[in-house]
Amino acid sequence: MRIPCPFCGPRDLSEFAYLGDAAPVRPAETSDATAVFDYVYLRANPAGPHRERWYHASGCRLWLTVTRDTRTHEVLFAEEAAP
Amino acid sequence: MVDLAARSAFDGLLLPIGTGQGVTVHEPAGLGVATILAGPDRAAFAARVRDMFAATLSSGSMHIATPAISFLGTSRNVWLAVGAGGSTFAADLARSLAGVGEVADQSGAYGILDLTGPNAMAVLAKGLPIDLDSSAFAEDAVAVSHIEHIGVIVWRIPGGFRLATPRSSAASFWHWLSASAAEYELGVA
Ligand SMILES: [Zn+2]
Repeated sequence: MRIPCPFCGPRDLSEFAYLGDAAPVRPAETSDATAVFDYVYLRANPAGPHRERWYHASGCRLWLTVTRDTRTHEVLFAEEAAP
Repeated sequence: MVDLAARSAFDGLLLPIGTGQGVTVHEPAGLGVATILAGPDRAAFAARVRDMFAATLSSGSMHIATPAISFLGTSRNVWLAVGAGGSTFAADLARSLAGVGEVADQSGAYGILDLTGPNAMAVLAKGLPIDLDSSAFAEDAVAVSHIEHIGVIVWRIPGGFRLATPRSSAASFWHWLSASAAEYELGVA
């Protein structure tokens, strides 16, 4: 598998570290325990395109948001993660 | 009080395996290394670099060479600078970029090796997950990557490649290099 890093170009999987689903957003500090539980533990498991965070650890050290098809591992798109 | 003497990263490690016919390794002496982080005012940073070094640092993994300094794009708004001047290199660079960018001395953090000869690319292909063919790795390209889990920054020099790798892993890197280049008669210059 190769990931097209927007800074470095197409790079081997071995250079990256995987974080996970890009969708969860940290709930406000005043949120109840259910919202925090959902944020920490609950993940969708889609069969198809999935937006996820990858870290280019051995390259430019940027965080990326990668859109990957979970059925084929085809990488459809990669962009710098928003700060 | 312990007396500390300056030693290069690969001092005492580089022992020839063969005649140097296929590939030769050389540790250049007296280089300084520093990282540069552009400040928030990108236009002021670019103007200063133009004034001081007659160079335009475009954002990208590219090697911009001036007579004195190699600027290597390693990340967004980050460059590794390599040049003569040894221990004063980073301080001189920091003075030149004062107020527009941050400079951190990395001279003691990296070892530098030059790998040249007809089989230099074949040696690197054994460990580096980067296509170094000229159709994929341009004359001014830079790659930040790894070899055997050891970080490495690679760019072109006449007849081969220059590598920057963490000084503390120099012995491990040499172990990989000497084993991988033995079949090509690795020599030391
Ligand atoms: Zn990258």
